Amino acid sequence: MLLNIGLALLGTAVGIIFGAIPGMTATMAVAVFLPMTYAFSLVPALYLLLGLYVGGISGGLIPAILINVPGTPSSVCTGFDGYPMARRGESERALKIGITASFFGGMISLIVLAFLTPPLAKMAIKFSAIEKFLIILFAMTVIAALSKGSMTKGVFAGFLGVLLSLVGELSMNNKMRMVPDFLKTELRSGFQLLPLLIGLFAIAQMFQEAEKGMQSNNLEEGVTVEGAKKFSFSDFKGQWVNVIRSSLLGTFMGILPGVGGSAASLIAYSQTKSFSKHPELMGKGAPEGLIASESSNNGLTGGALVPLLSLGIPGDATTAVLIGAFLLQGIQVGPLFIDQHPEIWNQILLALVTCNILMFIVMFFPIKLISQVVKVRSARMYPVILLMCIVGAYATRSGVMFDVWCLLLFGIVGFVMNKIGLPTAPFLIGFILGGDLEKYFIEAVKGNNYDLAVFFQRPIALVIWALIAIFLGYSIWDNMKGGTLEKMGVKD
Amino acid sequence: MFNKRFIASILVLVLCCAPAAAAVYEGQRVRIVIGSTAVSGDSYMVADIVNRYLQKYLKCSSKVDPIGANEAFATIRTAAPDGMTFMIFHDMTYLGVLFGSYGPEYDLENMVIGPRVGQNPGSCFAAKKNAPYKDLKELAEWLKADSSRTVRLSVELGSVSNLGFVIYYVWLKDTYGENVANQMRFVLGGSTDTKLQQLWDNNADVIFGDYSSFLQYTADGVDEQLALKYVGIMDKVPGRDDLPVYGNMGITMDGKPAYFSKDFLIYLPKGTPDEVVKELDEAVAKMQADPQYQEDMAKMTYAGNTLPSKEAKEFIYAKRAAIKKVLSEAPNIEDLE
Repeated sequence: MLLNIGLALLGTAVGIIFGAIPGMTATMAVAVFLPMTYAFSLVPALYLLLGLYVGGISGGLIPAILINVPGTPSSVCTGFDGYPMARRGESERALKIGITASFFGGMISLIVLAFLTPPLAKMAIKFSAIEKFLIILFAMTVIAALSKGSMTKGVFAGFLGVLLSLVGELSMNNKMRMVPDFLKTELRSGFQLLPLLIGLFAIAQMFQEAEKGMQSNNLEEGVTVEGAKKFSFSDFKGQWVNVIRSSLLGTFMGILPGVGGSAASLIAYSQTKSFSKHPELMGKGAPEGLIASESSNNGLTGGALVPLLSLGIPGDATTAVLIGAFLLQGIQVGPLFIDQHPEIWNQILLALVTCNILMFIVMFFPIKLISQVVKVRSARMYPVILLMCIVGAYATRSGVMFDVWCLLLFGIVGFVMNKIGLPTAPFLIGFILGGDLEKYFIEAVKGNNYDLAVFFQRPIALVIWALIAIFLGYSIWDNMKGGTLEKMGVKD
Repeated sequence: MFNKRFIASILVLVLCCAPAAAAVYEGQRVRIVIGSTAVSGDSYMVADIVNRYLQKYLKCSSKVDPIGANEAFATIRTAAPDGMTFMIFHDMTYLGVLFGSYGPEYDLENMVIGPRVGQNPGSCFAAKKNAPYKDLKELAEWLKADSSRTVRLSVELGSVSNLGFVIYYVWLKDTYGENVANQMRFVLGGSTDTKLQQLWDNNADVIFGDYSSFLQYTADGVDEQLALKYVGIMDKVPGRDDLPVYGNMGITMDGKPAYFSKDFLIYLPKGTPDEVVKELDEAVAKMQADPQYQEDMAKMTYAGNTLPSKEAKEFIYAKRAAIKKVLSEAPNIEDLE
């Protein structure tokens, strides 16, 4: 048992480091450590790998909050409110809120995993390509929520992101799209998400700072860390519905194979905004946005294990790597796994509890030190961030220099977009979701004789359409109301 | 001045004292790329096992890098030909070029072919357990019985699954006529889990995959909605004489019973020196003789049948030529959508 806890601790700590370095992900962490697990039996190996998984997903909140660069794609929404909080000097509070929300998300999804795996797995099968397409579409409605006051520009940027996600080879026919001949090798699988993400956020920000003249640090003018609001568990007062809703949404997204963590946090974030008493504060440093994002992306961890352990198909990219750990030990995961290996199943649940608790301990207590990063002089900080970004981009495909050029290219793109007032977040969301949107659309229509009516025939599909319509209607109304108030001279 | 005996003695002394030719790999860091990004497929599993034994026999520090076909092929084209980067991959290496998915620059002639490290006989087609046919032969009869029937097979373009589809199509055409063969429909698959979901979503009737990946779904007690059965396996799996093997069902390739195993070979960048390949050959020969290696491969339902580089090259060229002939008789798979 001691070995297991030791390995879980190692996994969680290393996972947090992977998650915290922009460009490194939980999936990479698990893949790197996978061959080493051969030296152990399956149970210790699972403690190590699940530690890496939980740590890797959680660590992404650190750079998202401190430097506005999502450490992993699933923490894209964390920076929307976390970074403004850090700029107000509340970095420690924001980090602790994020860590606590992550912990709750992980534990709630674990409860779902422990008690509802078989019925949820049966439900997951009922979600065909039609429903998955609609869920991705639903996640895209967050673009409307993020574009308040400039919806046309936001939607345009979103579509631009979708267009860019289609660059590369179309797997349906192995034909290249929008790829110049001289980049056929480099762009065969399109632009990579991580260089684009860190380019748009980190590098673009550095260009902006360079233009303005470098600030001494990332805090707003006149703000000090010492005078800022401190974390207390009462920050969660009135947020329990948000925590549970977002965690369950994350868990649910994890259960659906092929719908990633980014979609989970985007949907949770937009739902929180719809239900919020103060939607106008979200995106400006509201803890509820941070809670939604972090509880949903950690909620994904338990959810993604549901189809893996009951159907044999992974819920996300990281659990796809976990299958390798089982196979290396000669164990098949599939519909009979839980019945045939109840002892391993129990150990997995125990390992997840252990890893979530360790993640909380490892992150929560030393965070005071980490949060001081905001006070570090930008002139010293930026070279380190730049180096980390370049390493992360280079590691995306195990050492492809083209990805480093893309990092710089999208840094320039982000800088130009900011200059002309095109929001980068919708652009990124369009890019993240565009590929899956097309994939499930083609799969749905192909499986149904190219009949578009299939999107309106199944009951689940109709429910998702209703949600999309309600949310879009609300966003448009909210946008118009905001515009009217602005004309009247009333500020948020 | 010096007599012949003296000079000969000096020469013998020098030769004896000279260090033995240093091994190329000993103490080196080696990168093994594979043409798959999945760590649960046969490409990774074979490479992982081979990697452990290469570390043992080459005394090097090596690492398997699952970077996918595009990146792996590009790496073999651009890596330094010093043997420190090589690829372990199966027949897709040349099938991608034969099917036109990759350009001629990726042809076998542009690589150095190393030894074969193993085989996987388990490439197969599976259908839902309640499908109205028990194997591919019965499927042919089922199609023949009603010309309005179609069957949708989920495969990937330019891969072994594409070949499995084509071999069956050509045999169907030759045995039952073109009309029956044209009742087959191609559905683009993806990873094993994508194909399973296509089957469960009723977006495909028959899916291609690996014997071991489907094994649990074929067991008794699996929920009806998830349960599968093997309808065609491309080669004999040891210990499973009950499976419908292509060749045993009468399916032929180039006039002979069709048996196809995936052959995993080491591929190196063009210009790799002979001594590098020789050292790999020696290590692979030791693996072949190691009962633990054979056991590890068998545990995963793979075969540890190795071949030295020279024979492996002749073998894979001949295999490619035979498949090229079959492909010349087949239509473009996309025309069967």
